[in-house]
Amino acid sequence: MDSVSRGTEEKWALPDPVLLGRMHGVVSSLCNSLVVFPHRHRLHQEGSQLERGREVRLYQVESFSWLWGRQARKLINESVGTFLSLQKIMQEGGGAEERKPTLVKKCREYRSMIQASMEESIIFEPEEVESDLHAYGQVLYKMELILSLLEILFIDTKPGGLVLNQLVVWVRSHFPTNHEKKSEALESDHPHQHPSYWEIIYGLVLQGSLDDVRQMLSHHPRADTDPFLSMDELLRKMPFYQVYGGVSAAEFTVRWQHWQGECERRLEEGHFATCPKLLTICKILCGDLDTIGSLWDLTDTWYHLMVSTLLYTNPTAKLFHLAGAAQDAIEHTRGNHSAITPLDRILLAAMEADTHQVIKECQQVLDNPWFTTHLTDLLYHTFYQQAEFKFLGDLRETLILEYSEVLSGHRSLWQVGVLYLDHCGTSGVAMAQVVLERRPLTSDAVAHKVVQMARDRKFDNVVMSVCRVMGRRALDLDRLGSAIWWGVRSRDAAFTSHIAHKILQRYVEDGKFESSPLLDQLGPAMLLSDTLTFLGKYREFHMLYQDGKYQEAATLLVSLISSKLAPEYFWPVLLLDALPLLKCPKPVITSEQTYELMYLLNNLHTATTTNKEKQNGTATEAGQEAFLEKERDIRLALTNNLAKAIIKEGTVES
Amino acid sequence: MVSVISNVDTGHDDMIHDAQMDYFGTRLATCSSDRSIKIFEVKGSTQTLIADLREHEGPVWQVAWAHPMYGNILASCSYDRKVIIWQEDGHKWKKIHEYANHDSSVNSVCWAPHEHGLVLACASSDGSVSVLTSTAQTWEAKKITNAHSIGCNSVSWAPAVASGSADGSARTGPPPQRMVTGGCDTYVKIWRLDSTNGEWIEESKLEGHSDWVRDVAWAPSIGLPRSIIASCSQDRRVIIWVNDGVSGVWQPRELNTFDDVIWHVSWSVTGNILAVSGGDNKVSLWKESLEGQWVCLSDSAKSQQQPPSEQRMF
Repeated sequence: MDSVSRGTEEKWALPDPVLLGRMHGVVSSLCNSLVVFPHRHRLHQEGSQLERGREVRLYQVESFSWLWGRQARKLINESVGTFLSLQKIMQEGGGAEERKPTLVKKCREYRSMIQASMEESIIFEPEEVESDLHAYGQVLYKMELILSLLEILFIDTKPGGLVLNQLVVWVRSHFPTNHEKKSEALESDHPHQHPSYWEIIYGLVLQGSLDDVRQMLSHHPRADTDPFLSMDELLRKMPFYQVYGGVSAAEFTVRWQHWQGECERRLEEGHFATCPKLLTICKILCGDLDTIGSLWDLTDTWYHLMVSTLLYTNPTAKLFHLAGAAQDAIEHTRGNHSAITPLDRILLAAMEADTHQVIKECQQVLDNPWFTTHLTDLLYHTFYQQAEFKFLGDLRETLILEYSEVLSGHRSLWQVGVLYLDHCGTSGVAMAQVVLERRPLTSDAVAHKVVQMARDRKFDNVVMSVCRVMGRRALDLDRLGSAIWWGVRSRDAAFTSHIAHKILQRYVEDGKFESSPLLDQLGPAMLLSDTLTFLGKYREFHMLYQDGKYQEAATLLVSLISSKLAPEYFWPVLLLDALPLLKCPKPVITSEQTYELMYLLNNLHTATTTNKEKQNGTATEAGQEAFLEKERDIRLALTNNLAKAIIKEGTVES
Repeated sequence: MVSVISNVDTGHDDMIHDAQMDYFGTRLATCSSDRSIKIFEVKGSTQTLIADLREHEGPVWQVAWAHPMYGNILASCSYDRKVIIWQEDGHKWKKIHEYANHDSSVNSVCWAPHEHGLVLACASSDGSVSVLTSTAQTWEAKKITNAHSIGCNSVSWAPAVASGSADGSARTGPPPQRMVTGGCDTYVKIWRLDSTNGEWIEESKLEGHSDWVRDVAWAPSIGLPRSIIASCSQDRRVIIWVNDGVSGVWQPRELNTFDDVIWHVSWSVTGNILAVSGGDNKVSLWKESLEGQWVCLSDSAKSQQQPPSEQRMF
């Protein structure tokens, strides 16, 4: 598989000298691929432009993304389940407060799917960092990071709008190194001699895990001395806001400021003068920006730094405080050096409460719409019918259409794509029809599946189209029974008649019925066309005859004849069929019926003798020949039967 | 990330003028200046040659696949003034009809939506457009003489959607037949079949290009009442014409001015993406953004081997 070399950001080049200067491309059918070939202007010039020894090659070019990897399969299948159940619950209505628990639950389901996929990919990850799997894992990590932040800021909002507690949890769960190192240190014999002992402690302080800090400090040999005891007290008494704790935000602020005031007092009074490390901790507790800032490399990222800073400067921070705090943290960690990454931009946009920007940035950096589709759907339902978020409705539909289109090119995931389209307005309905109609019908099973899905959605035109195609194929393969079956389902009378005629003509020629089981099960569907009805009834006649129900068979036969359903070329066959019935010892054909048959015979005789002069050369000639030979027999049988019938009908039972 | 998933030696002796996938994307037909048409079976990432059709006496300009409900049928048109219709029978391809009623090169063929029956439109350098309709026994032809002065370069059918029925349920009455043509007179014209007398009427004449129109393509509809047509021209521009389905007016919007003549425009099956190919040796894909702007998705361009730049990262 050639790889295409990548030039500038959005350009790719194909190395082929024949293509040089001539490349043209067409978008192929449902698959997301492009067919590229060397083209020549439509000006007639003699002589080939192809150099000797060269070939004119066709290239099929496709864009790849992690969505097609094996690992993503599970993600795709699980997310559709969550998506569908979310739509269902949302349809049941309810106000914003009633919807919130569901939205939070679904958001967490998505997050856990991403995490599960990430964990699986780590298991298989080989050593090299450059591998696709590693990249996939990275993408997943970042998606989950973004989603969890958005859950805190928009979906799982708490009364009062304070966000810091959740952010602290967020930071702790995404930067677990500190806790891991803490466990490692505590397991050793002398924790305080662990090389990173103090770094671990600082890190834990910055994450607000104060109980863990106290635990670490308690292993210090000087844990019984005053500074350590004083610090322990401070750490123990730091107030943490509880949403449902019964304490109002204002009251909490008072308590917290009182506590921080105590920290400052002890700092000034020199409680920690003898221990610079504890001094540092105290400074952090006092919210000293320089100290916190100097430790930023322990936080690793600006958003961690931001949360740590807020924890000790503004614990009652709300969403609108975050933008400013974020900017400060970014400035501190970046300075003028490294550029802001797309991830940074997304997180920043989230903190600025700019959902539109969040989605747009995600779209630009991700190579498939899986994440943006599900995210926008969640946000759409969260902000349902709020004026400033009206754009989410259109955006959601566009993304669902895009995602389905991506899935529809896949040989098994296309069904998943259709499920999304059921929740995408009128465009979704139209797109679903296109996806189903264009599905390559590689086997009967696929055709049945498509028909079933189209039927469920009442896409009659799609059903018709698919059945017609399958019917045509069966006809081309000479599988007439199958063709009839599809023809009937397509409700195409003309096509079905055509095949019914073929079957009847076949019978006239070889006396054999193709695919009789299929024909016998037509049921009421046979009413689609006259010829088909005749065919069905004629089969019925055969069955009756074989079962020995001669009376009924005879009645049916005569009704078939008199109803004029039978095509002309078939009349001889019918009369020949009547022959054994006419010769029954007991008359089964009434006199009325006999007259009918005689009438037919006369017509046929006239028609045949005139036709014979014309020399048709069709298959029906065989039938005509057979008929003429037997004509005398038939006449005789008819006359005899008439006689018997008249006698029988005239006899009065005594 | 983009990669080549397959490539095949077509066996053509000269460059290709057109390549078309069939309805399901399982077959590909190519036609060339070497006068032949080649048909490939496409399965995943392999392409196998299954037929080589040689009947034309000049370069073959375009090929078009009919809807599979009629069987496997392909139409081709050529500099030799002929239109040939081929059908697959068993595993062989046979010529089932030849139409030679044009006075010069036939430049473009396009099958109508299957709702209209088995109908083919052909555009010729003699300025006329023929519409061939298959009946039980034969093919009936209807000509629009003088569709474009100097010559007609391209023809494309409108999707068969009756107004107001986007949901696929039973329509009332047959959908109207419409097609769009582009010619050397720089115009893009829209034609409608008058069902009362069976004549084709010029419904709209769209002015916007300043040189020969090389290709026109009517976008597949996705449920919205609006119609979109893309046209490209010797004037190096691609114009998108939009009719909102209400006012009856076609609004032009220039997609872009390119570095060289644009020869082909083609829509993806869902009508979301437009592929543009031209003399500037690039294939670009365009999509309409939410704000109604047309933005370029990606370019495929020839260049010397450049070192691959970094993967786009978060």
